[in-house]
Amino acid sequence: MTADPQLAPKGYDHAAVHYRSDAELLAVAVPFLEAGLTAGEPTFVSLEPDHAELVRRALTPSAGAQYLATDDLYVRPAAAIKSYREMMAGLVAGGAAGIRIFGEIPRKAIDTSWDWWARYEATVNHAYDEFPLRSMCAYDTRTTPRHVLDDVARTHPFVATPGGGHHSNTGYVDPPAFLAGPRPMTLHPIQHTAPLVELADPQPSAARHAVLGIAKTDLPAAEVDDLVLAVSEIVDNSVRHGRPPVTMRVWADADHVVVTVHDAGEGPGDPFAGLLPADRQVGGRGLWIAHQICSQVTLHRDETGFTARLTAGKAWLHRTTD
Amino acid sequence: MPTQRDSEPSSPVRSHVCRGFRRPAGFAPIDAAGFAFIDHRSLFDVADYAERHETTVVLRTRLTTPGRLLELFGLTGVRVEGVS
Repeated sequence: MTADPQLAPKGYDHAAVHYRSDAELLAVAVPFLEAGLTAGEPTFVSLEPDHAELVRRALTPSAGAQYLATDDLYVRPAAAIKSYREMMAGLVAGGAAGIRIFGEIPRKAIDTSWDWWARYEATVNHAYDEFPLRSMCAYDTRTTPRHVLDDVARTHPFVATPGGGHHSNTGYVDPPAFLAGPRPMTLHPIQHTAPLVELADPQPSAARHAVLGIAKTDLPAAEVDDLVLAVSEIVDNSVRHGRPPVTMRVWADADHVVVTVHDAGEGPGDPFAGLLPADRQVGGRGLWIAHQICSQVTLHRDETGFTARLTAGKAWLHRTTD
Repeated sequence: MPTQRDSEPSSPVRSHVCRGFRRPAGFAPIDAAGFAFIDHRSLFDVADYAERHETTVVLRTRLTTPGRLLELFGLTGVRVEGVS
């Protein structure tokens, strides 16, 4: 690591970037990336194609920054964490003393599934802290919804500004506290209809058969198989660790299957459950599996208990207008 | 699918592993072609068996999910062989 008094001395330095123009984006990204390249650090750009091209043109052609495809990386937050951790472990094992990433969560992910990406932004403060990583997460304040920017303000311990500014963020919330707080669960449109199946206190085998019995969807068989696995794991969790009654509901149309599993308990005690690799000896693997294979997983706590919602099929747009 | 079996705790896969089974040199096959489901706990048992006996278990199954789980958890010592 280079000696920069404005940066965290070790571990993960996770900064938010707010920009309102291409020029502002570059004014933060370019000095950050060039400093990494000058220091000989593995330096990555993980931006959507138009922004990646903007940065590529602004950097010295021979600079050697590496570009990661956001379409592959940001499909699911649990998979992104797994990929980044594996990548960084390899870099450190190869001798890297510092790593830099300038990235953004794709607009589509923000618009369709911000809930688990908000949890991602909080979780990575813990998940990446063992690596000598500095990263910046860019958000366009012209287009990013207010509630997303509010979460960004609570999940990034630092804020980076044009010209090399790097400041502590006074609004930062400790990740476990952020993750334990109430998260909204906007209903999927098909949840406004009556569920096709409702099971009381199902065993995992009954839950699997219920999903397999849904004839209303055109989803590929492999996607249904994945959902069946995830549902089985989540129902098993509720039966083993939750509090009865357990209620499972299934909705479906041609393009989606949505399953909710509710129990009267408080949900997993581990605030990072689902997003971090689960310990083989301790348990908690079911939620992580679901986060790795479903199109979307939403977790919700309220006065009635804990709900996990699993979705297979295309993400749907539920952008608010704020 | 009433004629097919599920692999959950105390399932046939677990029983198979717990009983121990004779293995040909180099690998140990499990015929799971009739199973409608294999959960992650059973796969961990199989991986533990493979590790203890320094062998490779070949799981013959028509399911896609065991392969996904093995990859997700980085379990070694178990190989999935597809059957139709």
